[in-house]
Amino acid sequence: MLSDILQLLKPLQYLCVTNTRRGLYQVFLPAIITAITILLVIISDKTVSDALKAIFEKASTILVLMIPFNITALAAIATFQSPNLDSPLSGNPVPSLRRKVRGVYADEILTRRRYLCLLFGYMSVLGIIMFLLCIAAAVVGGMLAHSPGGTPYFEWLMIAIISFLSGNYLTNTLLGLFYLSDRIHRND
Amino acid sequence: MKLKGNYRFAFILQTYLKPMPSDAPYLDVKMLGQELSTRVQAGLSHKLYDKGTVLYRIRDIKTYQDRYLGMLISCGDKNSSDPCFENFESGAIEPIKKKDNQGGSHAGHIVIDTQPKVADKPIYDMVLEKVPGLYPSKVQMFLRHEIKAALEKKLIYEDVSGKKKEFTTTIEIDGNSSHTIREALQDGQLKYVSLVGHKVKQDGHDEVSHVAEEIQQIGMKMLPGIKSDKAVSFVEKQLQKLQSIGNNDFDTMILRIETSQGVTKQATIDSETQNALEQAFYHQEQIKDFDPPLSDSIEKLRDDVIMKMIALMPEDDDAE
Repeated sequence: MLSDILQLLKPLQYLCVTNTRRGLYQVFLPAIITAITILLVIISDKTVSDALKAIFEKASTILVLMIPFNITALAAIATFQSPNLDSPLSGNPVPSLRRKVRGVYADEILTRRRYLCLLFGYMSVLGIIMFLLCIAAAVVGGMLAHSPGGTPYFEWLMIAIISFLSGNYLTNTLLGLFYLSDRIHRND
Repeated sequence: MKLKGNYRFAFILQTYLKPMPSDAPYLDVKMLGQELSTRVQAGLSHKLYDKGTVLYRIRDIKTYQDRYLGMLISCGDKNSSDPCFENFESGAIEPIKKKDNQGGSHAGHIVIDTQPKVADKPIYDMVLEKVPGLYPSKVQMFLRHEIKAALEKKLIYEDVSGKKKEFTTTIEIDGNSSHTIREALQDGQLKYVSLVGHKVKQDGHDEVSHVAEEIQQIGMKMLPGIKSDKAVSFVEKQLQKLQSIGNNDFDTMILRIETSQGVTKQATIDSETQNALEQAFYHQEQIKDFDPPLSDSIEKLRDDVIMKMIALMPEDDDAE
């Protein structure tokens, strides 16, 4: 039962790919984008609630376009014929994915195709999660609104979360575009 | 570094027993030897380093000719590979598998002259057998620990105000200059020293990595009139500083010395072995003809080795 449920979250195993610039792409750059967003909210003349509402609205609009793009890119990568896509990723040590095969953990050396499928699969799931978050925020946001005059902790927390996820989404989108526009068309 | 059974090299060194605090009296090497001997007999003379993988131990200690203090120090290393023997006729290789609680062992002899090199100063001549793991800086580190443990709360002195205080001593080991470098510097000058390292560089995610050569170069000019020993000591200190700051993972060191005749001599120092500087700069001599041949590690002092090392001690008339 549990393994069946965990299977649905398999696209998130992209985060477990080792020997990539994981810290930079998944944490550091999104954290910088989060900090910039928070700074912009602080210096803007909008209230925190209004800013949060605007961020959610714009994010959901972009996600409506991006989720189909990610799923289409995933389908294209899975079927596109190119020898470059079937060669292993470059790097020393080579990027790999630790996974359990017949009860034993083993490091799988990733081909470019496998890596890109993991990337776009992850972004598709992340996009869906963010979109659901936007809907949930729109539904329950009013109920959790802070008392007048109090500090809007909840709003600040939501801004931080959505900014971080958006930053992560943006970084990985740029990484995917780098592959589609450049890396898969040239040899090592 | 593979050790030979019938010959070895030895560092010719000087040791300084520095009192702590500085106004405390100098400690006699003979007395120090007695304290260390008590510790050795009690089986306390050992210390683990490198997360418990390297073990240093004073195995034996004895006085020779009522003047020289001889010590046998061993270094056990759990990270060393298993030794193998090859049958020269059949070509068969026979590895000797070590157990989990064992490590590769090397033992080296040390001789310290108990008579000070300079009157009223605690500086003594010392000869150290060159074996893996027992380089001057490592031996200094281990002996500092042993001396501190052996003398703890045993020595009292009166300071200038008449107050009774505990004191101890620490050991500093310094090398006599290498003949080759000293001679080269006698009338020439060190042109420059290059530290060459190789690093794997990556141009970004999923890009092919390449090996890039990194060179750090320092130039030095010796002023006329500087004694060659001082020059060597100065150069060595500068190189040690260079090693300790910034990028120090170089794998080759090249020294270029230009003689007064304009001839450039170049020496490459292998820095993959530990303590490249000590090996390059410290004066070393060969000792040979051991009967029976020496093995990598032994448990008791070999008198014949000690006698050969005593013969390497600088002559008395050299003392100032």
